[in-house]
Amino acid sequence: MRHICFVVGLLLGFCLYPVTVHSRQQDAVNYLAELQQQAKQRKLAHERVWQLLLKYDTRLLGGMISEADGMEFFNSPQGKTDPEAELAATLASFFVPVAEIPEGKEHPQCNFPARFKWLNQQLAFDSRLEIQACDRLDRWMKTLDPTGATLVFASYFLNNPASMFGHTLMRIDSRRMGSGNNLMNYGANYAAVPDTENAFLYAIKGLIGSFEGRFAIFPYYTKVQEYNNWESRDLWEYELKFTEDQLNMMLLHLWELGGTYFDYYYFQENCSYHVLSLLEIANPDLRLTDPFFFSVIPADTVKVVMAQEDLVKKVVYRPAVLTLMNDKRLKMLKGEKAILQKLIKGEIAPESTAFGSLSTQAQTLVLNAYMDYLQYQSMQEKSDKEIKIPRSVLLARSRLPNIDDAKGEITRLSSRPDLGHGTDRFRLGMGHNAHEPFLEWAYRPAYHDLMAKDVGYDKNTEIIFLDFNFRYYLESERIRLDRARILSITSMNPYDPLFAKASWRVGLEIDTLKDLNCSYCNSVKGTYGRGISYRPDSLSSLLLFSFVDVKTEFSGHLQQNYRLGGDIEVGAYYDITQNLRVKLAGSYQVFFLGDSKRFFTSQFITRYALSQDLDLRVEFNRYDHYNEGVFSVNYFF
Amino acid sequence: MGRYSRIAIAASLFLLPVSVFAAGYGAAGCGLGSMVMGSQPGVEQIFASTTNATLGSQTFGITFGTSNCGDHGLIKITKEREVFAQENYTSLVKEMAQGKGESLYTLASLYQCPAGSHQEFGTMVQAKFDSLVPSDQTTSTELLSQLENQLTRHPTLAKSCNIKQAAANQ
Repeated sequence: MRHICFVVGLLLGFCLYPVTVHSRQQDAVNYLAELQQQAKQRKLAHERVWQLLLKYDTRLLGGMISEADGMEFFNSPQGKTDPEAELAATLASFFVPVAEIPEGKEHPQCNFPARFKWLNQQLAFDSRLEIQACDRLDRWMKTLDPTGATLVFASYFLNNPASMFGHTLMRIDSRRMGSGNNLMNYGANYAAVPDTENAFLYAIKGLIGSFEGRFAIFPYYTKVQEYNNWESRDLWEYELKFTEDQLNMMLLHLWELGGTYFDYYYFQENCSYHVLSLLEIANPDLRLTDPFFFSVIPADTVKVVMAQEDLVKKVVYRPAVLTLMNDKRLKMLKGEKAILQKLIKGEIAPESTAFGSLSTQAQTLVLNAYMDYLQYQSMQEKSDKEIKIPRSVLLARSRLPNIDDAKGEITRLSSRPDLGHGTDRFRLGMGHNAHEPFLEWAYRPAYHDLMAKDVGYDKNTEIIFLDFNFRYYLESERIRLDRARILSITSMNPYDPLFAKASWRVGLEIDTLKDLNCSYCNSVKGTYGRGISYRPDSLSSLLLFSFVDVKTEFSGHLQQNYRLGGDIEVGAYYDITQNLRVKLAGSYQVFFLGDSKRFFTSQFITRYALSQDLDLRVEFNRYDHYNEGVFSVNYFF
Repeated sequence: MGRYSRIAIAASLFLLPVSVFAAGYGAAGCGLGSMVMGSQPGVEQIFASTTNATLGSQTFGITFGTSNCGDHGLIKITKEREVFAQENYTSLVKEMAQGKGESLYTLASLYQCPAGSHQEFGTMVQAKFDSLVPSDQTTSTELLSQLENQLTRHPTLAKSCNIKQAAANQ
C-alpha cells in the first residue's frame, strides 16, 4: 500500500508539477491583466495619489510630465510622461519572479513600497500575487519608527543676505528615541549636488536647473551642528500632526525618492517645494504646493503649513550658538562685558585676578558666553586639536557651580518665520511733485525692504528683487517707469566689538533722473558701497548707518551719455512703536566723470503697519531741487 | 576655497539608501560617502557648506565610514554613542563643563539613563571633568571610555544607566 502511494505520488508529482507551474504562471498573467484592466477602468492613473507618488505635473501645453529626472524612478520607458503606462508597468513589475532580480538589486515591490501600498489599498491584491519580503526596507522602517514629523526652518545668518531666504528640512521623529531626544532623530534633507566651485556658475546653474537635487537622510544632530553652531542660524521646528499610517506612507515614499534625482531649480523645485510634497504624500488632502507658481520661498512654505487647520502641533525655537552668547551678553553688566571682551581678545585668562574678582554667578555667565564664542569660532577655522575649546577654559568652568544663568526665556534674536509678511508686494500710491500730482503702482516678487515690518526677517538686511514701479502723471498725462530695481541688497552689520564687519550694499536698477529736468527720463544705474552701522544693542529700535558708494549712471539724456561718481549717505531708522517706523537720511552726491554734478538728496519715510501683510507709508524725497511726496499702501502676499 | 572643494563630495554623502541601483549593499547610503572620500574606515568629519549659495541650499556632509553604517544607510545602533560623541564633541565637552545641556542629556539617554537621573549625570560629569578630559588631545572615544569608567563606579548611576551597548545590530 505504501509503495502504491509512493508511486502514485511520484506520478502525480511528475505529471502535475509542470502543470502547476504553468498554471500558476498563467494565473499570474491573467491576474495581472485583470488588475491592469481594473486600474484602467477606475482611472487610478488619474488619481491625485498616483500623481503625487510619481511627481506628475500638468504640462503647459497639456499632458503630464514627472518632475523626477532619474529614469530608475519609472518602470515604464514612457513613465516620465505617461501616468497610465507607468501604472500598468508598475503592476507588471510587482509580478516579476524574485529569481529574475539580479544580485544586489531589490525587487520592485521593495523599491517602490509606497506605490505598492497604495495600489494594494486600491486593488486589494490577493494570493495570486506573490508578496516579496523586503529585508533592508523593513530594517530601515524599524529604525526610523516614526511617531511624528517636524518641519524645520533654518533662519538667516550673519552677513549673508542670501541665507535670508531660509532653508527647510523634515525631521522624522522616532518612537525609539522618545520625546526629548530630538537630536537623535533623523532628518530628511533635499539639496542640490553642486559640481562647481565658481560662484557665478553656481548661480547660473542653479537658476536653469542643471544641478541634480537629491534627498538625503542625516542624524538631526548633524543638521543642528551645521545650522546652529557652525553657521549660527536659529532653527524653528514646527511639529506636525499626522497619523502613523500617514507617516509610514511618507517614509515609504522617501525610500522611493532615495534612488532618483530631480533637476534643482532655486526658485521652483527647491528644498522647500520637495519638503512640502512629502507632506502631501502623507496626507493627500493637503494642497500645499498649489499656491506656488512663480517661486517657492522657504519662509512662504512655513506660512502655508501654518495656515492649514490642525496641522501644526507646536512651534519650538532652537537658538543658534551666537544667539545664546548674545542672550548672555544682554544679561551682563558693563564690567562683565568688558571682561568677556578681554578674554576673547586674549588679554586675560580665566586664571587672572581680573576675572577672579567677579562674583561666582558673574564668572559662570561670562565663561558660558566665552565658551559659546569659542565653539562658534572653532567651527570657522580648522584646528588639529581634538578639543576645540581650550581645556583650561573648560576646566575653569567645570569648577564653578552648575547654576542657572539662563533665567527665564532665551531672548529671541530672530522671530518666527511664519509671522513675517508675504514675500510678494503690491503697492498703490499717490503723490505730488512741484509740478503735478501722480498715481503710482508697483509690484515685486521678493523679498524684504528695511521699511517693512521685520518680524520673521533679519532686521538688518534688505533684498529687493524685480521691483517695478510705474507712475501716471495726471497733468502731463504720461505713464512713466519711475523705478525698476532689478536687484538691490543691503547688508547692515551693526558694529559689534566681537565681530567687527563692514556693512555693504549693491544695486542694479533703472531709475528716473530726478535731478535733471528731462520729463522723467530714465537712466540705468549701478551702485556699490560700504559703510558702518550701529545699534546701541541687539534689541534696540534705533539703527544708525552711513555709506560711501561708487555709482554710475547711463542715459541718453546725460550730455555724455553717462556719469560716474559716488555719494556719502548718513541716516537712521527708528521704531517709535512696534508698528510705526521712521527713516531719515541725507546724502551728498558727486559725479566727476561724464556729466559732472554735485547735489544733495534727503529722504524722510514713515511706515505704519496695519497688520502682518499691510502697511501705509508716507515719504518725502528731495533730489537736488526736485521735491516729491508720496502716500502709499503696501500689500504683501 | 578649500572648503568649497568638498561641497560636491559632501553633498553626495548620506544619500538615502540607493534602493534602485545599489551595486551591492556596501555602496548604499552612508557607505557611499566614505568611498568617495577614499577615507580610512572609521569616523571622519567633514564640514562643507555652500555659504555662498544664491538661495540657501546648504549642504553638509559627514562620513561615518562603512563600519558605522548599516546596509540600510542609517547608523548602526552599536555605533550610535561613538558617532554621536564624535559629531557633537565640542557641544558635549562644553556642556560637561557646565554640568547640563541637551547634548549631554542625549548622551545620558544613549547610556539608557532614565530622564530622572540626567541631572545627576550632569553633576557627575562636571565634577569629574578633570579626569574625563585629561588633555587637549583627548578624543571622543577616549572620553567615552573614561565616562564608562566613571559610570560603573558611581553609586547610583551604575545601576540606573546601562553601560553595555544595545545588543541588536541594525
